[in-house]
Amino acid sequence: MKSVWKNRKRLRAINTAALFLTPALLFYALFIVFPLLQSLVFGFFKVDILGGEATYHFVGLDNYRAVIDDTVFWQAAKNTLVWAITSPFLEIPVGLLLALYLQRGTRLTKFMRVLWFMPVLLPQIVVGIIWAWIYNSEWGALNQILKTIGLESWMRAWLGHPDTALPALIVVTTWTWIGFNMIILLAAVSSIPKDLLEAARLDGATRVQVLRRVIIPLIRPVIANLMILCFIGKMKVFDLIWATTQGGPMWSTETVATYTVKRAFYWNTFEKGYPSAMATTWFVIIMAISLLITRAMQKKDTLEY
Amino acid sequence: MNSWLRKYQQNGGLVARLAETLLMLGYTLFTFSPLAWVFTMSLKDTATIRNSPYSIPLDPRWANYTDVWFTSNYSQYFINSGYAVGLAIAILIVVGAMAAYAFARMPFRGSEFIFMAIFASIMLPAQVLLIPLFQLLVKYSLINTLTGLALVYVAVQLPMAIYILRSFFAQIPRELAEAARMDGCGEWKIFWKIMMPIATPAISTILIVNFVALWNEFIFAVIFIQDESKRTLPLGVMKFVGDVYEDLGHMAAGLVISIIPVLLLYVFFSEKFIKGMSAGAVKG
Amino acid sequence: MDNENGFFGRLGTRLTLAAMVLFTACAAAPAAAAEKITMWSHWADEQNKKDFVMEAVKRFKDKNPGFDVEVVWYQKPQLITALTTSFQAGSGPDIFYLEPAITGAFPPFVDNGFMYDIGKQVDALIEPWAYPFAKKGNMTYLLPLEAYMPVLYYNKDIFKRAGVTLPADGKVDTDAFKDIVAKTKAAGVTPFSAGTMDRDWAGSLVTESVLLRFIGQDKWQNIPTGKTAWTDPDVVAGLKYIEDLVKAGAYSQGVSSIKLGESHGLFFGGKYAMFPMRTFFGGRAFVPVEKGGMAPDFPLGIMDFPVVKGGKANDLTYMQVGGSYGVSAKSKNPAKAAELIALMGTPDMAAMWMDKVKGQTGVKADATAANDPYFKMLGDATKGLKPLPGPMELGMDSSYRDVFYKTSTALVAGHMNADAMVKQMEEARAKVKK
Repeated sequence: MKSVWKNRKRLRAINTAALFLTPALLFYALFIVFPLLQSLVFGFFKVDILGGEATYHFVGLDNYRAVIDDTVFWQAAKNTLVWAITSPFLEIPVGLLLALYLQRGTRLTKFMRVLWFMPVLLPQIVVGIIWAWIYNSEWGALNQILKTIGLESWMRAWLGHPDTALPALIVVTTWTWIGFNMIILLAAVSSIPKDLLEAARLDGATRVQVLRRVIIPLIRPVIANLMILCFIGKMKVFDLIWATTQGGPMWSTETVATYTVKRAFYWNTFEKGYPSAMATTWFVIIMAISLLITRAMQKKDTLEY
Repeated sequence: MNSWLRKYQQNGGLVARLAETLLMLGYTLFTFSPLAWVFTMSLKDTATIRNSPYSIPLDPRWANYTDVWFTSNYSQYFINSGYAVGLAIAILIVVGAMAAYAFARMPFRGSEFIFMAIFASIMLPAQVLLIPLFQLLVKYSLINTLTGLALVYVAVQLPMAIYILRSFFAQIPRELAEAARMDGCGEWKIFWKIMMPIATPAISTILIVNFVALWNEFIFAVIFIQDESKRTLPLGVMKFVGDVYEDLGHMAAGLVISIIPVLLLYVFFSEKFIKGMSAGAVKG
Repeated sequence: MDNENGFFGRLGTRLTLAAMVLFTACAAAPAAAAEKITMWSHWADEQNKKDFVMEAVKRFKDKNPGFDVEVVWYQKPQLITALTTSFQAGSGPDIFYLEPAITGAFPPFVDNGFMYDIGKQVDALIEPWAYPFAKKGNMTYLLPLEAYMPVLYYNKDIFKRAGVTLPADGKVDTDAFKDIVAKTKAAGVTPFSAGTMDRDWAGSLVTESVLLRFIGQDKWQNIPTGKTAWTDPDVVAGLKYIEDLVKAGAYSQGVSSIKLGESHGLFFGGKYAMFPMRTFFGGRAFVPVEKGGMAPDFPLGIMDFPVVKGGKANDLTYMQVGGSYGVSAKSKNPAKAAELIALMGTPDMAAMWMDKVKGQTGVKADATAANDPYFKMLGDATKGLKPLPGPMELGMDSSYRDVFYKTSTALVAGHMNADAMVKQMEEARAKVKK
């Protein structure tokens, strides 16, 4: 008798859960799973749009073979990964240093915190246009500043040279996101019990030692989280490039995002199979990398109740 | 005076303190000067900008702003963005909270797996979904509609919302729900009348984070919206810049107009913004 | 409920959402019952061309009082994306700007069945030479409004200052041209103004015309097909010539970060000696200075590209149809839309085009522009030249063309030398399906 009651309760529980979960699952299935599968399938076809109707020709692995041969795709993949891997090492250390400074909690630092967070709120299109002006080789601020302080030989067309274009754009995303990392690290550092820090100081530790031996180990989970968020975020960069270099010069700022959009919606074909194959290939690459990262972070507990 | 000096010494002495202040000032300049520069540009005309790009405008051309506002479509862009973002966030909160509550309080075999599957999609960059989502929206006549765009936004932002809310719901003591059940409340009522109100801080977080993210969203908008009358703000800025092209003064004014609403909101609600954005990634 | 979160509580969101929905509902309220024709066009920043189009729109509205015309102006890259996505989505404007399918600059709308035949309305208006660009099979799919060819604009004052004198027949050979570059450089200016940031073809202008003179018609026309190898000695000689010019400082290093409009403005500003550009130059030159135009007293000169001593192609150049308008096959009022387009092509409108925009056209025009000093200069500079269909990349497939544009830009920006470009172009050529 008890087991029947328990089963009915369990069924009720599953039904209720199902009710609560269904909308989200619908979104997930319709907008994420199904499109992913469709992208995979399209990759095996040549998809043309004729007068608004799509026609499909099976081409097997041809598209995927072409992706492997596509030097622009691999350049774009490389650029995207460079962006995603270098950014955490720029944004997070600076963010941490700023957070430590803000920890003082004075009126001045409160004001700084508000100011330093601002770039996070701006649309990347606007940020891109402004920084394109700064990097302008004729009258942009950067070259003018270099000229004024006597470093004229350093003046150059920052967005116009394949060697400097990507680093220049990485500076822009760093400028944008340091504030975000800073705020989160500030919250993390603030939650460290003050007596711990006092004790370390009383023991004669220098500020650097306190940082290395006490603070960082305690906020390691937060840093790890931020690194992942930063990595994911940089994989998605699109607006900034679209508003500035459009992938040039010489594909040095081409990312998988910009290249996919160009192939699917800008070049002079309506063919959808090839960019789908590209997108699927990229998806596989990202999944592989994510697996590696989660494997490396396995000991970290992601959920703390 | 003494305590001030003592604080000084505790922090490494005068030289270190000075260096630190200089660095912080430098960083402030680095962060803020691009914005300040655009603002000064917006008050000059193009010829002046070309001749002296960095001078402070002694004779500010406020007319740039009125020109831009009345000749461009900015008001429409703001409305469009407001609709798409507002709708997306409203749906996101409801759907996300329901799912998060189920994951936190109604576990069943496989619920953890489903949660991880949904959460994994956070890794997906937009370009992987762009083409098939385009086809999907076309098929259901949602292409070129702000509603369709909002639905895509919901799907893309759901994982993070569920993640945040799940942590939050899990912290609520079970006794609360138990007591309500004893009183004969159904799960649905418990959820809406008890759980959601308690979850307001988390909801507030989601609202702010998504507002910032979606207000500035570009790649989906640029592919899914074609009509001028439906452009969201980032699209509008791109178009506006193309229209005025060489007219730097008006361009700068247009850029400032596009960021003023968010900045004003931020200035008045800075604490909420900052707490909201940070609550998502720091636990405990 | 709690007020701790102020306006951003749930109540606040719901109010905002409700307000937004209300707003949008009001905004979306059906307009008056007038029929509407929508038109999407390039030239957002070329005021004289906009004025021309709006004049045609006005004439159309006068003749058809029950019609409203909505024109949306774009920059070309954004226009292409908008057209591509909306046609694939089954919607799109009634009339739109496009360039002939043969150039590959725009997606092949006509090949994919997106265009309406406007032959009835415009066939009689088109110049015979422009027919191949406007027709596909029996269908006329666009009005070839704008025509262009490549020339070298130059600043007469700078030439005088630098001690450059052009020969009487205007034909400068390759050595003399190198000399011009050196002299203008010595006079303290940059010889060529160019910018490829928002138009990737802009770096290849001098290269393609020089190559034509070096390699001759046959090889030039076989580059897109992949038959002409980049390792061909004439091709290499041409590229090395460009490399020499670049090494002599002919281009600014910032080529890739300058926009097309900017490159016009830099030339008008007087710090650049020459401006290789196609003759749609007029659209940006002959507008008020505040809009980025050329000062009316600017010392403008026009010359041809250098000729090769003993070359067989010294009288060759290319001509192409540029900005044109067509009607969408999905339009609800295709005949009326075609009527609007036809209004752009009347002889007096074509004359207005030449007068306002100072551009060439594929439409029959009243011969009133002959006395214009600009057209006289243009005529003198291009006297005796026979135009082939061009430009060089006409008919190249997308990837091959992309590599060509990117490497040409790198060549003139000094990031690549001729040998490296040959190597990369050969790799790309190998992938072309012949």
